[in-house]
Amino acid sequence: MWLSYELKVVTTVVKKELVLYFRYPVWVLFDALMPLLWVLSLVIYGMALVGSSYSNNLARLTNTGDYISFTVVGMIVSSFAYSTLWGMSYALRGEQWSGTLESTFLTPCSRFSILLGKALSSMLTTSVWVIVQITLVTLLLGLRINFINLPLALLFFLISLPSFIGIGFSLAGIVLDFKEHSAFVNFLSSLLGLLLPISYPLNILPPFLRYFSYALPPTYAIEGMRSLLVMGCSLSELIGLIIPLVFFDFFWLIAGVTIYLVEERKVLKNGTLGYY
Amino acid sequence: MQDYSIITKEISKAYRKGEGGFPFKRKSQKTIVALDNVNLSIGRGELFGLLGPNGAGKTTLIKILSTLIIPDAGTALVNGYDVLKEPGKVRASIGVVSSGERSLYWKLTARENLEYFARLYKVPDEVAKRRIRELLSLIGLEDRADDLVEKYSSGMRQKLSLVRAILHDPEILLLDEPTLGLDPGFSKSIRSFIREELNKKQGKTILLTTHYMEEADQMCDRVAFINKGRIVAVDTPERLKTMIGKKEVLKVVVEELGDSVLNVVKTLPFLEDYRVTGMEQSSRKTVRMYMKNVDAHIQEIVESFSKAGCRIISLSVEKPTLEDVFINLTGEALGDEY
Amino acid sequence: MNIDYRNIIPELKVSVSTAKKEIMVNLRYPLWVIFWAIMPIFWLAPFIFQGHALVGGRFSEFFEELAGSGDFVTFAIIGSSLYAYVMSALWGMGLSLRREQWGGTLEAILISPCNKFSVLFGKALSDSILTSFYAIVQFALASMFFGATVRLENIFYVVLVVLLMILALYGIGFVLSGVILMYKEPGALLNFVDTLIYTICPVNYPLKALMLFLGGAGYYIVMVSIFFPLTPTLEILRTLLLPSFKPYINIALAASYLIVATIVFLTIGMLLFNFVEKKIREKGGIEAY
Ligand SMILES: Nc1ncnc2c1ncn2[C@@H]1O[C@H](COP(=O)(O)OP(=O)(O)O)[C@@H](O)[C@H]1O
Ligand SMILES: [Mg+2]
Repeated sequence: MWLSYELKVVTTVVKKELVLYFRYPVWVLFDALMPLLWVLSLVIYGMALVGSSYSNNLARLTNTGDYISFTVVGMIVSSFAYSTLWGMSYALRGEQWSGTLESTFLTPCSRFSILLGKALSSMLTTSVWVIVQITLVTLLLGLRINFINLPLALLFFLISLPSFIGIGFSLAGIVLDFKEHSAFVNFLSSLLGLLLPISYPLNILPPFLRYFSYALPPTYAIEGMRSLLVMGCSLSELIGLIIPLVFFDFFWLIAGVTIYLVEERKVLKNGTLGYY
Repeated sequence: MQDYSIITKEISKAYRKGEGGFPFKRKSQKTIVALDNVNLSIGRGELFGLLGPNGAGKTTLIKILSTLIIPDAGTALVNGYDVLKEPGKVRASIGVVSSGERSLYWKLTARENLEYFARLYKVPDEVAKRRIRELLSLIGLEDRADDLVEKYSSGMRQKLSLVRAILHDPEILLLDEPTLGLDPGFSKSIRSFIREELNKKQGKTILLTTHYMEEADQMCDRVAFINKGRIVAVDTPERLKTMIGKKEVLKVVVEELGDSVLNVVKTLPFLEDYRVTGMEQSSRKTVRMYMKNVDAHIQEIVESFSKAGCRIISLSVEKPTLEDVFINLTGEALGDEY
Repeated sequence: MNIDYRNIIPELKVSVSTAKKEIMVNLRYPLWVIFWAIMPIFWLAPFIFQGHALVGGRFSEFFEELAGSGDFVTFAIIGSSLYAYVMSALWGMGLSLRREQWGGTLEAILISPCNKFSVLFGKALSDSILTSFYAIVQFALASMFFGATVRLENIFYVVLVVLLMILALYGIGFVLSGVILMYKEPGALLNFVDTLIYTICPVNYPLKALMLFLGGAGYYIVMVSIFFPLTPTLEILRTLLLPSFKPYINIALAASYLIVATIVFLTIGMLLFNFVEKKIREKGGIEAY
């Protein structure tokens, strides 16, 4: 009973977020174009460096020299990760801006259902653009993806999802209180952009940075899915990635809920819940 | 024990001002006392007004009762549930309208807004559909139900907020300045909807804050005065107005020269208190003078004004209003307008 | 618009005092200043790491074929240091006006008796001083971390060209602030323009790379790109700073274009700003939105 009510809240939030999303057509357009531009600039840069779509050095470092597929898959997985990580805090911030956060918090449903709804809707919109992106990139640049492993890759993503959601909860809590959202997002995304192995393998990073990368769940998601989709890999390799991910799932779900609740309490004490 | 819908128990709240967010904290912190030991009991079915000037702490109290702010000390029972211990049950029992018009999604239609909130309030879909239709036509918005809220006027948005607050048919309504900034026509229809339909007909308990004294006077069963976070007096409007004693009020509107009005008023020995208001640039001032036995002094007052070169534009003896009582109790006016 | 030349000195004073105020405000949040000085390194580093991963070192033969210089690290450091100015022209000016619009001080500025362009110019002045600081810090930090090989004997011309670019960029900044005041959600628009410029200007890769694999479309993109002041400036600067760099466009032409662009963009910016102001007044209140 309780669960079916909360699930209904999740779907209601998803539906509303999607309706709202498409009422801002300019955003939709930019959302569709921006990742394409990013892929484009990474690929052009690669072309300028090696003159073709194959890098001998990358082949030496990893199992593949096809840096276009390497990078595109890295970008796609990371954009899914970002959409879960930021989806919730971004939407909360939006509600503070539009003034609807207080009315939402006045309802008797769980905050986590609302947050999950926001994460889910942002993942859905991301999926749409990712599919568009994959199609375009495949047509334009010749993406070579091992589609047989796609179900396994999706499973791998599902395993990493709880940890992303946990981190998303904590970010949502922090943003509720720390109102400088864009600077915060900017800072963390830039940091992630450096630490996550999106357009290069991890062993390129200086060792002290690599330790930070290993502390980030998206690192494992990218490595695992890329292995499955681009490079081909062994089961033992995958298990080596899944074990830390499962650990992170538990750790971040608990930490995320705790951090969110602590921050929410702080905001309820400050009286700044709805403040922009 | 009488049947109370809302009981506040020694609620206090202070805010710390001047906080930057992490990691850019600034050092200096001032505290502002918003509520100081507030005790109120609001009976079931009562329409209770909280009257006080801007910054008195009205919004803070409403937000504490609606679980959006945690008090520093004390607590409150709303519909029998403790706001600190059972916030979920409190939320399910109340409908809230906050001042300001940004509590709806402007890019959704009225109906979409209401359907969304109905689900979050656990109203079954069929019931929600029916209620939305009924409520919208009751408040006269049925023709605009499928327009984006963006296209609404402030008054219409306020009405819609009210509908949103009663979607789940709560027993208790908390209304924070429901007519703030609306034009008189809208204010009037919203007031009568609250009083006649929601309170009298549907029997809802309503706590309403306002800084318009007429609103409190005309609508409320009981009124509490709040000033600087303290409850100064609680009673029915009629009995509050007798608190001022036998005093009468003489209201004079004059065209003044320089500071002459104040100089005149200061020299009148029989005044117990007075209040001068008026636009800063304009020379037209309104003076309210409190005294016993107005008839005996009118002549002297008129002469003093004309001696000082002030032209009297109108003059009337009035019954004390709630604002007069408020001024008497606190030494402060409710708002800028009089 | 007619300019009264007797007023130039007092108007300049308005600009200078606005600039002073803005810089003081910025210095009051030293953590932010440090934050913005360091951030761009995080944007640059992934490109350098990607380069290392793809070619295994800091020198690419193919890059040399395209640009005359195979040192893609120094190439990117120059590009991203200069990009600081684009960021500040896009985000700084427009958003600071937006904040004033929110805070209600924009109206005060627009109705104050001094020329509003003096105020805007003051903002641009303080922004460019701060940005120059950021750009230099970034260049220094990046050279420290990743190593850069540049010729410094032409530094005087470098400064001159950068100054020209700043003027032209702030002309565009004017244009954009006008647009931002009319536009409801500037964030998405600015983000898009930002990314677009980053992609089509030779920040990390030479202009020729655009044509390399985009073919005919690439040619038109290059044609668009060279009209944006960053592109000619980067071409000139790299010629001055990078040993053996081969510019894709004629340097003398690029320099003259910068001068023309400055005049054109500033004029369009002023006209548009006046237009927007009038529109906003007609709609009743600049705070209206
Ligand atoms: N979140 C907050 N942080 C700091 N001060 C606040 C906050 N909210 C309200 N205040 C201050 O507390 C006092 C009471 O405010 P409020 O409850 O909004 O009064 P009212 O609704 O009667 O106008 C005011 O002085 C106000 O400035
Ligand atoms: Mg208030």
